Amino acid sequence: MNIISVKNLKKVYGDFTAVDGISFDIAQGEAFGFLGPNGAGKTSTINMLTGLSRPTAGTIRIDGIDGIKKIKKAQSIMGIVPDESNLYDEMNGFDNLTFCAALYGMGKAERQKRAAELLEEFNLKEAGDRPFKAYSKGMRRKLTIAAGIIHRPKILFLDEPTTGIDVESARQIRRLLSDLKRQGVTIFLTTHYIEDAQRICDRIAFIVKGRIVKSGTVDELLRNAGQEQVIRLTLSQGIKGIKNQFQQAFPALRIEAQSENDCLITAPERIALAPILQYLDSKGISVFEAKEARPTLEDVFVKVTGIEAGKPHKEKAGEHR
Amino acid sequence: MKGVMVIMRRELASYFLSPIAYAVTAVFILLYGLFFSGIVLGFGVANLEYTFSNMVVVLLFMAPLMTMRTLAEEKKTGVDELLMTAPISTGHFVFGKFFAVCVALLSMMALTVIHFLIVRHYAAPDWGPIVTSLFGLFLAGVSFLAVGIFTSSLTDNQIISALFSFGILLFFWLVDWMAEAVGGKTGELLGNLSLIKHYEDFNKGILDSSHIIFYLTMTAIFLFLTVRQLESRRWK
Repeated sequence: MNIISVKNLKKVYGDFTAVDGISFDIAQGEAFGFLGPNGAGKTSTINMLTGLSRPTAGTIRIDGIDGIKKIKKAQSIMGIVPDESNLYDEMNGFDNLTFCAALYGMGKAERQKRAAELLEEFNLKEAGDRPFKAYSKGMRRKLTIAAGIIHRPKILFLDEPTTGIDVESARQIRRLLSDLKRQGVTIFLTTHYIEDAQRICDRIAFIVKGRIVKSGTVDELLRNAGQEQVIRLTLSQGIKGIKNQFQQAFPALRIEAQSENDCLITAPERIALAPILQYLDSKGISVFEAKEARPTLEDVFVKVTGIEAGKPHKEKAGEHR
Repeated sequence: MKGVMVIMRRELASYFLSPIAYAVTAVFILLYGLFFSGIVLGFGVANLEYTFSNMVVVLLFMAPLMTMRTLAEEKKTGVDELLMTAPISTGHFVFGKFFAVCVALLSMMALTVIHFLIVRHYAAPDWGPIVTSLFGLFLAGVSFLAVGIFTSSLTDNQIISALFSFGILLFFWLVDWMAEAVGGKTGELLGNLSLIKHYEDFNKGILDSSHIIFYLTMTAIFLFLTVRQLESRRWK
């Protein structure tokens, strides 16, 4: 059963189209990743789904509720973790959590118990009575996630949850999200960290210039990344001196020198290694290692978006409030 | 209604944790004491109405300071997103903020009770005008706070919010002078918008429903505009 159903969703800011008629469904308990460069329309989409902005066109259904006309009802089953921590600086961690719980109608005893549980779970117990402004960036992120799940939402929206935080906090957040997924919480995640999407998400959609250009499970995307077989050889010496001869000897293969002693062999079908090893041996080059190089989600990302992952991109108007 | 209480409680806690609350209260009480000693003790009359009419002007300055951070600060820090994505309506959210500053105003006014006790101890005042003046002061104060909340929703800068609020209140205060200058039907219409004119009867001990309706309408209009202003952010 689909818990989120989006049809022809569009958001226009002046003459800039941030989201251009996208449609997708998310099943209950699924972790869905929205991947794309900055300015692609990820935040605009999450803002429309969570009721922060109204779509220019299209429909949203959240657990059967009209996500545009009855957004307040839909919000009661959502947990939202925005890209910037959004809690009160002057309030301590515990009070911030109990306040968020109260917003969702939880009773006093229940919200205090749950806040204490979450502080423990997120390793923030000792910081619970410190003001939020005294928290480190990683701690702020963790408390914001704790605030997002304090009312045990059915759907959790996370906008760039691991951006700009230390490695240990990022790992802890990934672990927490995996636990939530196991508990049956539906996760909608936007990120430009491919690693996050690959580890957490069941399904991924790539969004570029406001349009979904590719979507599917991680396995499907990897399978479609390319049918070519790629083998990486680690050699006793480089092949620069014999590269042309090597290529002529095996015209069906594409041979590329990589780092000093590595080379990459690509072929449209399975590669027979024995003749290659014999040829290199005849040239006095030993093969220390031959390894199949599998395509990564990053390769898929680069292929469908035409953008090198991790490269900075120019922000577009309307992407962030 | 539960949402209103949640917002109100948090707002009150935040207000009384900030130095603004104590600075505003201190200035209010100090000025009240000055007017009280100057008028009541200075002239030896058991009459608080003049003190109250001066305090309305003081509130004109205090209300923008009491409300300037209510929404502007949250917009600046991004906390407004937390509240806009919570399952409470914008109306409840605005009412929560508004009731909190009304409670803060009441608490400030409650401190003036000591002056009533002093007057009562030494004289036998006419309580009618005192009660209506106090009621009028509260009603006027509440409408000032609604204006302040509205201007706080327009910006993320507290100073700008306070300046806008003060500007609007000053306009409604001075509109009586403009009414006299313009004259005729337009002058009469402008005169009806005057904050001074509507307060005068309270000060005389007259409880006229048209003045009560004026302040309540002004409060409702500015709270409605605040809700619309916050709702409009979703369209941007």
